[in-house]
Amino acid sequence: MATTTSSVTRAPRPSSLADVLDLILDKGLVIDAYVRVSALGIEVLTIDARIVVASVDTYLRFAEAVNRLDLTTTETQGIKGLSRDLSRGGAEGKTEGAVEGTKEAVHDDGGRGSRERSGARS
Amino acid sequence: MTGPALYLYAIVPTGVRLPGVVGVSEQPLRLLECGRIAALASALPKAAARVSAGNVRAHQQVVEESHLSTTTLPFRFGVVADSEESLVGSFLARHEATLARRLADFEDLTEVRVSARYAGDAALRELVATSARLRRLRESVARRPAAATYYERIALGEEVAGGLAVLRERDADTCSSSLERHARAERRLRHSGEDGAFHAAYLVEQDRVPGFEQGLEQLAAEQRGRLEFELTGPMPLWDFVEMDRKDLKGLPDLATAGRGRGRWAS
Repeated sequence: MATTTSSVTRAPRPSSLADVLDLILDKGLVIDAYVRVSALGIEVLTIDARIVVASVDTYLRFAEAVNRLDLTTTETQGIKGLSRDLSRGGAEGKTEGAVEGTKEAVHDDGGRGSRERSGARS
Repeated sequence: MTGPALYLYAIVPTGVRLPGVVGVSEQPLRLLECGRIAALASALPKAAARVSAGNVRAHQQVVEESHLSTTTLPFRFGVVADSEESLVGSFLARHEATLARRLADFEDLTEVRVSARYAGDAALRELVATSARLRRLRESVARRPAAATYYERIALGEEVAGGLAVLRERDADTCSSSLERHARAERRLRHSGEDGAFHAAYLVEQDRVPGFEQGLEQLAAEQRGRLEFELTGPMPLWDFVEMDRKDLKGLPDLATAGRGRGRWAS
């Protein structure tokens, strides 16, 4: 019964990659007996993935805050330096690159699918 | 170890139709049945799922699609069985009774999440209006150059953080008491960001979702100008599959199997 004056925003599902990671890495059934398989790679990887995503989120917030500032008196050199540091976290696509990168650092089963799938997010 | 490893998405009742999507690593979905329950799975040729955005989305999508058509107990991302034999023989067979009962518990239930944020600087304005100490600090800081007020600014920040914590707690209780009555269970979640006021998941009977939404609309109307609400879902029961039966309203208090909190030892 949504009305036009409603102040409730609606989303069918958690949609940002960070929200989805939070959901499916933290929630749901786990079977002890099978975690050993995961422990070989996935457990470690998911933790890394989360760290990457978390810091990206922070970077984005910083970046946004920085953007909102009135920078007319700041020299451009400082801004350039900052944007280089933030370049890993500019967008979700970048996040995925970082996640894949983490994966390849830990596993050696090739980067075969990573490029094919890099556009697969919805 | 025989046969390929299997990546697991969810436990569902036996005989259900497969969701019309592909799984992790673009593998077709399979249903491995055992008595009244089945595991929704797909082959994982290398016994290691890469943590990519694509695979994370695939896991989410399979569980969501399944939840649309049947009772679905989602697995966490990255749970892998080493073979079909071990999945069916040692896991499903051993826990068939528990999982079947749990599927029955969750039949026709869905999850919605509610989050609320303080609108604009509503929270800060409220804090300033209600705390004389905060007003005093604020005026004192405002009158002098920043370099001279370092410690006062820290004290001001601490005062704001403390006030915000109290305000949040009160608002969370307000939200919870209006929404809880429409749900079978509530789980408070971590709120995010400095303007976050409230975040919780609700386990709701599917035919009571409209009632829940009305309750939320009413709450939002009461809090207009202060709190902005977001409703996510209905979605799979991510926040409730780990819950003990005794936490669910309206269910007999039976002993739970396994080591509780959704972990089944085998």
